[in-house]
Amino acid sequence: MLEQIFNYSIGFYFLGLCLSAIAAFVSKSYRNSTKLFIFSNFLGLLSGVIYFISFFPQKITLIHFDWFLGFAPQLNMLSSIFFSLISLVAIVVGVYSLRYLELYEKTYNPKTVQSLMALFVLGMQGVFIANNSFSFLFFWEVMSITSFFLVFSDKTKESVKAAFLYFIMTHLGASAILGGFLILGNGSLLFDLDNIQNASADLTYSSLCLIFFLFLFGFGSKAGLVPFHVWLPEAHPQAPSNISALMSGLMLKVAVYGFIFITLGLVNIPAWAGLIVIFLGLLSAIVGVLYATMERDIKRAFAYSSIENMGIIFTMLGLAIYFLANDSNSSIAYALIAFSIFHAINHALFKTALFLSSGVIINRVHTKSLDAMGGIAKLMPWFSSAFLIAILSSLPLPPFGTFYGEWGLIQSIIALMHQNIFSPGVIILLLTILVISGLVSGLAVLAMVRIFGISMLGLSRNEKTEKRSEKSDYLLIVPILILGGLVILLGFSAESVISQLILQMQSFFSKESVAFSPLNISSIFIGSAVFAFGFIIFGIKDLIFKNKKERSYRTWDCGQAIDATMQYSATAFSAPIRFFFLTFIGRKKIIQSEPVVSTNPWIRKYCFDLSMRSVWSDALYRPVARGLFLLAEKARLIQSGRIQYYILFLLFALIITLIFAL
Amino acid sequence: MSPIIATLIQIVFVLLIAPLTTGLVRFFKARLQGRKGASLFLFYITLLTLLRKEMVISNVTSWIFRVVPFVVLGSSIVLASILPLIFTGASMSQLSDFLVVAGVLIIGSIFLVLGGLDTGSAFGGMGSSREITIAALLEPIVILIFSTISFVTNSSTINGMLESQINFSEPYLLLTVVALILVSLAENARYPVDNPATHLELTMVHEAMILEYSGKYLAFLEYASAIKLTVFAMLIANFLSPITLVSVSSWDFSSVLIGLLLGVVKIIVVMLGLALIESTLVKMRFYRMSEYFSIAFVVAFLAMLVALLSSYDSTPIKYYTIFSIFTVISVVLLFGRVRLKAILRYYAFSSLAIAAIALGLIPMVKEEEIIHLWIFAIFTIAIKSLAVPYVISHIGHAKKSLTNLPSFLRPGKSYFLAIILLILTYFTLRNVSIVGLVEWNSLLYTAVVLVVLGIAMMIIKRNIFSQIVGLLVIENGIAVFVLATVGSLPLMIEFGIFGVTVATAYILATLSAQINDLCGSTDTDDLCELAE
Amino acid sequence: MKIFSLMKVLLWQKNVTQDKSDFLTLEKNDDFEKIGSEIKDIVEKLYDGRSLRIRAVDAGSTNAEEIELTALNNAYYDIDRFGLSFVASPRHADMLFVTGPVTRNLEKALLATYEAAPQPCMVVAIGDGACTGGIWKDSYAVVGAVENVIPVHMRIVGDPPTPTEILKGVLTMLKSIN
Repeated sequence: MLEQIFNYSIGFYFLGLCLSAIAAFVSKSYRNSTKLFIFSNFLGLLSGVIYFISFFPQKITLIHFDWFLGFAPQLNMLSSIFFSLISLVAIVVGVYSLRYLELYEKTYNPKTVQSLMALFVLGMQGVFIANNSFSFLFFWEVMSITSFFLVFSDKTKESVKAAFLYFIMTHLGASAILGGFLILGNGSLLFDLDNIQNASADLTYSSLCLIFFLFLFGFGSKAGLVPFHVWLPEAHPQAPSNISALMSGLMLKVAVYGFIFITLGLVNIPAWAGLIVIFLGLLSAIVGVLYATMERDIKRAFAYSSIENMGIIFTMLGLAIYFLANDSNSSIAYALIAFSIFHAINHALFKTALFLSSGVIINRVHTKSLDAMGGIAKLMPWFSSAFLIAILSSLPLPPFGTFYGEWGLIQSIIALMHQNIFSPGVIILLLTILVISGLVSGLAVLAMVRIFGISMLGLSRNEKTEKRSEKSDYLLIVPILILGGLVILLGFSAESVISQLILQMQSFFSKESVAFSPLNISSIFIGSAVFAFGFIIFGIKDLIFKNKKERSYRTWDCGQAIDATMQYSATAFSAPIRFFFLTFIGRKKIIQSEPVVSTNPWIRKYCFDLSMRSVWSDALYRPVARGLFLLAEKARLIQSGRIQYYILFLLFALIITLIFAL
Repeated sequence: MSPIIATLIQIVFVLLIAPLTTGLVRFFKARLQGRKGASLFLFYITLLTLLRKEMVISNVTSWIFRVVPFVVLGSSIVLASILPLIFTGASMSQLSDFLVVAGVLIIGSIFLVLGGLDTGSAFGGMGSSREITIAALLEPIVILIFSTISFVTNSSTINGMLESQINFSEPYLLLTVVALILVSLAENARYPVDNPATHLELTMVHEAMILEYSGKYLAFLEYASAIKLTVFAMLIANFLSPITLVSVSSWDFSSVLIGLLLGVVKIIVVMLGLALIESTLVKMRFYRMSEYFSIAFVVAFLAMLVALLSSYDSTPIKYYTIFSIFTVISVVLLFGRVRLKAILRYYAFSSLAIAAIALGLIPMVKEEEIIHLWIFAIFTIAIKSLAVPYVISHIGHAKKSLTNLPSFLRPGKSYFLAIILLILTYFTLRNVSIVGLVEWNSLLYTAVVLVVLGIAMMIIKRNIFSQIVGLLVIENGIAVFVLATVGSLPLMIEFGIFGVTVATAYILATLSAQINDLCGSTDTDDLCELAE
Repeated sequence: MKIFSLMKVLLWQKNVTQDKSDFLTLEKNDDFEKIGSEIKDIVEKLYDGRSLRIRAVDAGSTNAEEIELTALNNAYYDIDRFGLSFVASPRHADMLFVTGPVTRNLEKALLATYEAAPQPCMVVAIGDGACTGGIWKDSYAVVGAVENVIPVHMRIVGDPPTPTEILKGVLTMLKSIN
């Protein structure tokens, strides 16, 4: 009975998404389609809940479409977590889109955006229910292509450029994944995903390494790991904000799911593979957070923060791979996987909230530049409080769920240090992770506080800021509040959620159950600290607040009236970090001065220009592109147009073939 | 009595004594400056006065501005309630997970920063930018420090760390506490990170953010920073002497009273130390802060490394190893310096470290040799790190030309050479094992390195004064060698050696000064021509 | 080496501070009697002025007064021991020290400072310029005495008044009220 409801709800979910995509064009307004989208996501969430209540943690195969290339949609323990997560976030984003697309009717074509959005979510959800490599890649491509179209939905030159960069990178990644599957399945496209462990056990060492690298590149480029990340800060900000939220909040999680599901399923992975993942993870974390502190475009800053979080998640996964490969401390390794999934869930929630907020802000100030924002908190108190919750929930601070990502990593490292079996190399590795994760969390605080402080507080730096009331925008604000609330809720329930996750991870990957080792998390205590915190503040307020005299006056200005241009700008705010980390990040600083009047050299006009150089595109991608062009130039020599040459080539080909054949 | 009462007592104690803490440090500083200084209890009255006044609130600000004082004060009070300051095992001590503590600290900083930005003035923004940069760069250091202690004590809460009596003879603790002090100075916006008494907006960090607050809100913020200072002061004192904490499980009236009294004593002592630090240091330029953080980081990292190595290794790291590292480091630093004063300063440091090595050896030698080590240490401090540098600098100081001592190599290359020498020495000595020296390998290495570096210094330096210091460094190396092998010499010989050292330094320096007077140069190359 | 000489200076230096009683000689001042009632109110609200924070406002002085005010902070006069201290913002101030004949350019600034300081706040005009306009009185470039712009509660005359006179004036006022 329940199984039938479950089957039907998932079936109707996918049907609903397809219908919503069609309805966007058929019906008069895109709104009906959006409502259908929200409704079908509720169905998805419902089926997720049913799964958790009655089937968890077994694997469920819904139905067999044997006629369709052996497609048999299924949900397992791991994918169901992400499946429900994405339905949940999609509901919230759908509600947001109702109002958001209305505001941007002129810029975007809301019907196309809505239709593609439904297909985009369909693609992501499809990846989770895929049972073989064909269906996996099919839905993966649906996800990639729809998001490619969504990136340039405003049809400006930059977004088209960003979209094509995204297109190239994502297809390089997809082909890598395809290659990995082909090797795993011995040339068959219909490789059953449940067979990963058996199939990988038969592989030779070199082909195992090869598919590991293929999957690492495939999923890593989707997740935005440095150095495959160049597309991410370009493509995510160009899309409409609700789509950016879906891309950054959810699409990256699909990559994480793929990486966990497939790479950790491989048996006999060498330990150095874990080291590579750790290296890439740490690199992404530090590069992402440094650029996030420096970036002046609000959405790009959030995109870089995504790279940072992905880096932390992959660092944890890399550590897990390393210790699983060494067959030591497997309980801590599974705990690390559980923590990384927990962090991924939190990241999905808060990053969606942040991108949704960025949409609201951009809608008010009509620019993405932080240097032209400011003063919104006074205009929109409710929105600013929602945004503050979203910002705080993205930081490793006690009441929020995100805290446990960092907590888990650091506690696991300390637990690992206690195992008395390590070589100096491992100690250095652990210490490096410890230090970098500390630094990253510190800098993340700076980056986020900077974004909030500069965009919300102070005087408005932009005359174009719309001053209308926020009442009509409640559909934009409530989703952000809900997402922030969910992160707090996760923080409160962290202890039970994480211990359950750890338990399930152990049984999911190792089949035989490993002794459960509870890590001492006191989330209930920490949660109660928040209450204590609030209570104390409230108590003080009531006790001492008898003297209520106050007066409003200008900001203290040393006697000279100040205006918005005198405020600290976003660029200035991160100047110390730019200075301290100058060696790690490129920058270009141009100061030009010329006399206003040529006869008077003393009165001069100064022009200051500061731009961040992307070290990665300078050092890695440009040379590759240049090399390709050079190669193409050289290859043109062959094409001379004379028939004799072509006959000569034919001859050469024949000879070479003969040499090989004989 | 229950743990809840303990928590309450602790909170009330900290809340009551916090203004006195600020008063104490101001009082000590005034006395050190030769002033009478304000009354110890002035800050109480200041707070009361502020509570009575009206508030002027900038019309630029939003609701955030009004939330800030409460959150900041709240975070300080939470710190005072969860950390074990007087009692261990109080009701909220379960919460003192070090990451939670770091998080609460950061929450306070975040809101302070937002309050600074909300006013729209340039000063507020500047202070905010600086404060959050400092907080961000402190985060890894805080995590490293507490991870070290957490690793050693096997407890992730600070309460648990202090409950498991930390063994003071382990060298990592000293390093952690030094790092903790550096972090606390930065967290509380004291010298050399920030000047708490400055009126110059451009140099402010903490003060710049609260420029716009007045009346009650200002009182809250100032009170919050006083509480934070008190909490950190007690925390440092507790890490140095965990015995002074009262355990909740076994307490009675008298022990609580003693605990409270000890709390007051701890605050007084730490504030005296703080006043001394603030009177002897100057504020660092903000853009040099990276150096400060690097020092704190390196110290914390070293502590972690030492803790890890001594727990994994069969021969745990002891104090003398640490101090021999310090000796080598200060000699390497000396190697590349060109100013006579700098060279002498590092020479004094290295001699001080050698004295510390001798003290560190005390637990491992026979009973009758202890007195020798004491004498050696005291005389080393007195003669090598005080008398000899004083004599040389006194004689050399008369000559203005000696500020820059020429060398054949530039500083960068000198350091490079020194490091190559260190590595070479290591590989040469790696397989040497003299009977009786196996366990004190680090000392043997230090001795040889000192001798080698001293000789190298005499080769590459052109000035007679650096030659003298090179000679003294060689002598230091021999002293360390004696420590490592024989352990002690008869008293007469020791006195003789020290006497000779002083005499050598004096005679050589005087001679050099006279040569300088005579021919106007102390460059050995120039003096070669003299011989002809 | 340096650290030891520094410690020597810090710990065993001579105490140079002027005796407290020098400032607390009560003198009858007619000028003060007149405005006494106004000021009394303020001081009572501020806990008898046991902790007063001062903001110095330069309204166009010749800097002579500023130098005397700076001297108040040194070890000889040691203004701290009376519970007085200078602060960086008028928002923190209980007392404004205004110096100089208010020039036209600084009139607005002076007014802004007064408005920015939370009440109750007393204003002390320091120096002849601030009290009467001094030698610039009736010049086209100055507004004249401080009281033309903001209410003044107390005047300390002199061109410039010595630190002793300034301290004596303030302390006498505080003491005579109690």
